[in-house]
Amino acid sequence: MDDNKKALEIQQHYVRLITDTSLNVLNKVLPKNDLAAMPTKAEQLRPVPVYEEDAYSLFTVVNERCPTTIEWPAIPSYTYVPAYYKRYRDADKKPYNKIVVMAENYCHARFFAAKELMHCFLDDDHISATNSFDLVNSLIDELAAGNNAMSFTPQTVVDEAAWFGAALYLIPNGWIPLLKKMHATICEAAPNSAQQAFFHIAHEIRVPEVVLRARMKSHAP
Amino acid sequence: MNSSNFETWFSRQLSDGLTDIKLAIVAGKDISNEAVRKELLAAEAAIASGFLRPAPRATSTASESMSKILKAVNIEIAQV
Repeated sequence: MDDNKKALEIQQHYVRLITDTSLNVLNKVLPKNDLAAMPTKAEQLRPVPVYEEDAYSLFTVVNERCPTTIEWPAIPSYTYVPAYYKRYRDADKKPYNKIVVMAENYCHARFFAAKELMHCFLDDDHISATNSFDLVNSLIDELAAGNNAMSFTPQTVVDEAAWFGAALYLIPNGWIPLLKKMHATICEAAPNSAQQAFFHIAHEIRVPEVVLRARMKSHAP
Repeated sequence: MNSSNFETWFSRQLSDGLTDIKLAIVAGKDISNEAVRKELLAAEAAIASGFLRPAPRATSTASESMSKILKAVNIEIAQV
């Protein structure tokens, strides 16, 4: 019971941390890109920048905190690993991050890059660091097994938090009412296209359709 | 052999100052620890060899008729 309680406390801690982090980052990024926190018109919507060169983005904010690079290896394809995050300390003990993204689809690349960039905010306490061969082995085993086998170690909890933070960042809470109206509008105006409504909306803001579905489903009305 | 390669790579990373690693893993058919390691090592090998590509950019365009429908959507402030 104590272990479960502790695991729950760790989970709640990281969920609170990543929620606050995403909001703080959005408070910087949205105004610098003339994006509304609570848009009332669909024409106000544009993708929230993640790594785009010509924008003040999530990547920009991360680099203000700690030197970070994103590398895009030219491999033929991937099946299981679309991205990963590494953190180092140099000879002077100063930290720096390396993000590696294999996803080629723009919407997917944005989401996976955002997820790994979120780790750059979640690293300060070292409790969740994957810094030994046993830990990385366990992490891979658990993530590969999926939610059914999660043991809620700090490493896996932090990873879950990063996914959540990325979704919050790409689809801000304040956008949900408008996105829901857009969905309803498609269903009414183009009933034959209703099944693809999420796809069309996701395309507008350049997020994976499955992420948009989950966000709109989970957000309280 | 793959396990040894991964251990070697990971040990080298720790010597280079690695303090943390996290992965985005998409569960699928035939996923295994070994398969994940293999993909990670392939990516690292590409990077080490300088085989890099530009960051993905938007290439696809939305359907004009659908964009027109979506762009016209407004909501009242009271709903926000």
